[in-house]
Amino acid sequence: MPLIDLGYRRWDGVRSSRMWRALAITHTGLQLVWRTVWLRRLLWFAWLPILPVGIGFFLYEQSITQPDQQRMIAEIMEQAFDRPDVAEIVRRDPKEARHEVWAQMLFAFFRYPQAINMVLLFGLVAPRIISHDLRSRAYLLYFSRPLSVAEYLIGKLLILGTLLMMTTTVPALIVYVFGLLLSPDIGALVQTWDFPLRILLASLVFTLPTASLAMLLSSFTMDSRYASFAWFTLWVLGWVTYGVLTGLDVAEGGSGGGITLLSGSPTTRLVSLYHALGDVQSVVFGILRDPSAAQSAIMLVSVLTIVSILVTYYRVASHLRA
Amino acid sequence: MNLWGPIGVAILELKRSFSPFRIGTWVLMTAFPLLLIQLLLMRISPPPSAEALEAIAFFLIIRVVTVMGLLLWATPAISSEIEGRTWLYMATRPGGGQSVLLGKYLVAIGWAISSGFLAVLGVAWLAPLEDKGVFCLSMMGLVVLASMTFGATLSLIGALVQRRAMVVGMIYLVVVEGVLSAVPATLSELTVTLRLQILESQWLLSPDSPLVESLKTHSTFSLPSIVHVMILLAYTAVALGLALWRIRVGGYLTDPED
Amino acid sequence: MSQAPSAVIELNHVTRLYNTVIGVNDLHLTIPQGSYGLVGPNGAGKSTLIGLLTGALQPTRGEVRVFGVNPLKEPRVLRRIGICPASELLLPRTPAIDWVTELMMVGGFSLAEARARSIEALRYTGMADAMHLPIGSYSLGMRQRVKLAQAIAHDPDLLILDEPFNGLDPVGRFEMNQFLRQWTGRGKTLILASHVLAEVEMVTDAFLLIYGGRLLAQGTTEELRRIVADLPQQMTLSGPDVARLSGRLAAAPWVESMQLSADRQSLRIEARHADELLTQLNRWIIEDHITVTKMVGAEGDLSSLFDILTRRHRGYAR
Repeated sequence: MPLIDLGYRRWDGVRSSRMWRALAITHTGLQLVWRTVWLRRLLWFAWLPILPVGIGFFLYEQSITQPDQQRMIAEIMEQAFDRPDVAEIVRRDPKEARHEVWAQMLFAFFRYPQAINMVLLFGLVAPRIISHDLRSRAYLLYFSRPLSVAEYLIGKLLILGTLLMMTTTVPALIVYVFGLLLSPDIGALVQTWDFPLRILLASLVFTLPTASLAMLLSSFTMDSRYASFAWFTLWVLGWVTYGVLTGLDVAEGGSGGGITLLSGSPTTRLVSLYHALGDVQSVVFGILRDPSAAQSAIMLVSVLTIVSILVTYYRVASHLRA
Repeated sequence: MNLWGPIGVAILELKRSFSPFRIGTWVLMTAFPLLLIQLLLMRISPPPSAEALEAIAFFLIIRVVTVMGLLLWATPAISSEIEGRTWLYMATRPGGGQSVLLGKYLVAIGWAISSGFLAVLGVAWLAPLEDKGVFCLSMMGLVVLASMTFGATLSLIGALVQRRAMVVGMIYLVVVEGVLSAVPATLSELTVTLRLQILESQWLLSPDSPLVESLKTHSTFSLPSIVHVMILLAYTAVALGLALWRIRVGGYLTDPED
Repeated sequence: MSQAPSAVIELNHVTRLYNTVIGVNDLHLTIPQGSYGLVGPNGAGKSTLIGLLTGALQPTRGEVRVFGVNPLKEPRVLRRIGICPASELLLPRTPAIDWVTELMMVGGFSLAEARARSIEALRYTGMADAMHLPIGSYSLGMRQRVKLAQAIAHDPDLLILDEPFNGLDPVGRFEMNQFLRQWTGRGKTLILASHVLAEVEMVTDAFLLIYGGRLLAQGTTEELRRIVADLPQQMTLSGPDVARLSGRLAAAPWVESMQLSADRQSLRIEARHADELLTQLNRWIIEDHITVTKMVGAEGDLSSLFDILTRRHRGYAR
């Protein structure tokens, strides 16, 4: 029986490079999730925290030329951020403390509002990201194309990464530029040239483990509500365990809290992924001078990322083998 | 709506709940408070006071695991039917949607109560409490009230928010029941958590406990327990009533997004 | 169409909007007891109409009455309706018997009676051996049978089936046909929604043609054919020398228009009196020794049929 010429077989164009194939998954995925009204609301809401950070940058930069405000900045560093060392430098010479103050504020931005935003954002988007493909058997359509499992997963990861970067990296970079524009002299750029790189690294540290974990949970079930529940439970139980054990640490004479929540021993912080991520980010922003103090956290986050990616790969590939 | 409807839904939902994931979740929720309290007892010397342990047990069992369990069982009652493409079959039967809500609510509070009861018994066995009988009875009563009321409010959220009900439920639990309930203002009087904390203080804690001191600032603190119980039951009835009314109005989109 | 003393379905100027999208537009009709095909292409409004009849959707305007009552205000009437929606079932782990029993109990039957009815209905639809297996393991055809079983288990007076032949193999289609004929033979009412005219024709000869949210036509097959026969129809002839027919066609009074393709290999004809056209074309092709390799007409082509009717409604065709 002769082959039927359906016309399109005559196409002789050039296929795009393999390395861009994952972006097709990302592009489609972003278009689909963008239709969610709740997501758009959350993204707007997620940008609000740059206001207090921007105000913080403004007040600090103003304090360089206004001694009255230096006292206020020093007190904030001491009381709210538990950084008496930085407070001392601010009192002595605010300009000298610029790198530390900026680092502290950017760290706080990543640590508090955006971490909570990440939990909500991924709780909104991630549960369905693979589970829906499994449930509706859309993965059969994906893999009937020249697409590998790795490319599929990279594409999905980039969806989550893009959304998170829209609410962390981009506003952080904007507030950094805002700080530069508000500073009284060009010396700010010299002192803080490394911050864009730290912001990008902190974003990567923030995004990769959490996104791969979210995908892992999504790949384990066809019912997105289970993935959603597992995601929230992980964070809540981790935080609660940390809270109870931190109270234990304090009772045993450990350090108290402060807004940095680097209280408790490094081992205690490992029970909560939120706090382990905080340790790693504090190394990125230079708040934790000695990276070895966060060695366990770095190890935990790395192992979690690798295991999540490998297991997710295995889960998706196993459906193709079935 | 007929009586057999919610029973039929509850039977199938109960059968479905015996899946590895759900059983595992139930075990985790039950064991979590026990594990933490055991850890505390092992690491602190001398051990925390009985009252401190009771307060921790209340926090872990009532405010964490009962609520998290209900987030899984109760909140996605409607959205799970829509995602499974079975909502239309229910909605086109007399009182079908309402049967789904009530049936799943019954199963949800059943699982939450069973988990809570076992956790309470476990804590009573593990911890050096002064009066284990009073502790068990009081905590079990609180578990039942918490399960009924939180189950109803989360079911209402599930009925109002067709998609992403679990996320909205989580936001409600953190913002309203977590943060607002701690604000020393009239606003916190509207929360379920405050009612439960007042009952805890009346049934379990001593009058000079720090928690009791902080609760005394609320105007309804001195009301008898029965009033707080009635308020919680009223919350339950109103939340369930609103949820049933919302389902009756209908208009759910039967095609899940994407 | 059979005449019955009272209407089963009444639609009184019913419109349903989804924001700015029209689902159905000013439907006004009365349907007595009998069997009807609800025919229309995808997106015509069939599922919206079904949703309105079952109370799943509220009309934006107008009123719907089924068995004399508004299903939204008196949901008890749903007890007399059985519906088999088009959407696929996604219940991976639930056995069919458990799910159908649940639905029967929701419909008001006791546990024992619901179980008995479910077993009977599943046996009737050929699911006796598989009813205890999870629905996720079923083929598409088996899921269709389960959906049908839950629709008939409570012995409704009105059965609404939305694309019931989807996924059925030829044997399954035959069995579905048999079942539906038996159903209507019992004096029950059937609404069979499909986008394939031929499937509906096998079951009933009464139609409701819906397109763009509007009811275009209502009647029997014969009435439909008479309507269509009077309307201009299109036919396309392909072949190396079809252009030679142009002269003959231009002289024919019942030809409305002709269009020859640029490569002169294809001739599109629009004419009234399709039967006259076919008879004459056959004669001309033989007499003039014209080679025709392909002939495509409007007969049996649903989209062309709707195109004709839509143009008529818009006043483009007489």
